[in-house]
Amino acid sequence: MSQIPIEATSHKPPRPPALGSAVRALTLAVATLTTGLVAGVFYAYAISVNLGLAEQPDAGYVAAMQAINERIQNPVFFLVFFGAVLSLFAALAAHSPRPRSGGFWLVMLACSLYIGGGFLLTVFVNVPLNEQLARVGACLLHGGRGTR
Amino acid sequence: LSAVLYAATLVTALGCGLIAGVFFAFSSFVMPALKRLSTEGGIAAMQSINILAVTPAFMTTLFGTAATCLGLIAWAAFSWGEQPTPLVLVGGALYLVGTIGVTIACNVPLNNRLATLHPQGLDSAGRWEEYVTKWTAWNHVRVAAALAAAALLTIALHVG
Repeated sequence: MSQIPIEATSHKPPRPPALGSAVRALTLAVATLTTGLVAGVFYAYAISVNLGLAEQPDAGYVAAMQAINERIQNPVFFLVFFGAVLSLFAALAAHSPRPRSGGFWLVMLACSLYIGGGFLLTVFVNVPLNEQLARVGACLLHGGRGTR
Repeated sequence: LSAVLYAATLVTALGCGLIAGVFFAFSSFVMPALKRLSTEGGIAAMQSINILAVTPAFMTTLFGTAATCLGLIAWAAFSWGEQPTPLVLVGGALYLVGTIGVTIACNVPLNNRLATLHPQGLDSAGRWEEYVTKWTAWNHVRVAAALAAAALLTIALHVG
């Protein structure tokens, strides 16, 4: 009886461990760098952009923030912002053959932190606020000429 | 890597990644947005961003990371031959030269000149445009250096 599993597995050539380890490392590295970049982007608002714009008169604040919200929708930022989600899922998939390992659980935790606290919070809280701000009539304000 | 070195490399990698992201925000959308505003609006917004960015939190992240980079470079110089020393050395040097050096030599002098510019001055439009072009170009360098440093230190953590 004890020979059956040995025979069953001996038909498959053993997967080279180097490939799995390289994929795990690569997906994890991309996920680490993209989530780090997004953390820095939000940190930039917290430590300088919001503080600086808040000092401006209301018209200037609204014009600058509207322009920022428009310009943030660019391919490079989206590559990083959505790329972080994709690479986290890729890292999770790469670690899933070892669901009991510490690495798998850490990647799972990273996924829930970024997707919950970074991505979904942005989509469901910050973006609706930006949309409200975009409806503030630019023609009533004299801070900018770009929101057309 | 010993536990202390591992922790120092980890903290430095996180600092480099965070700073790369801060400058990435400016390269990717803050400066393009300010460029779209009226000259007065853009100058006033950037002037107050520059004044208010000098917070203890940001200065600690920017220069604290530089300090840990110096420490890592010193370690790498004294332990040459151990596995991740080249990665740590190049990563730390990239951040110090490409991010801190460029900040001090290029972006801060540009900011100082902008601080004296009157938003409604006669030549303000031309000087603002020149500022945005030069500042953003050097900012791209800071992003690339800090991101590359973060990547090299992350690889050092993996192989060490």
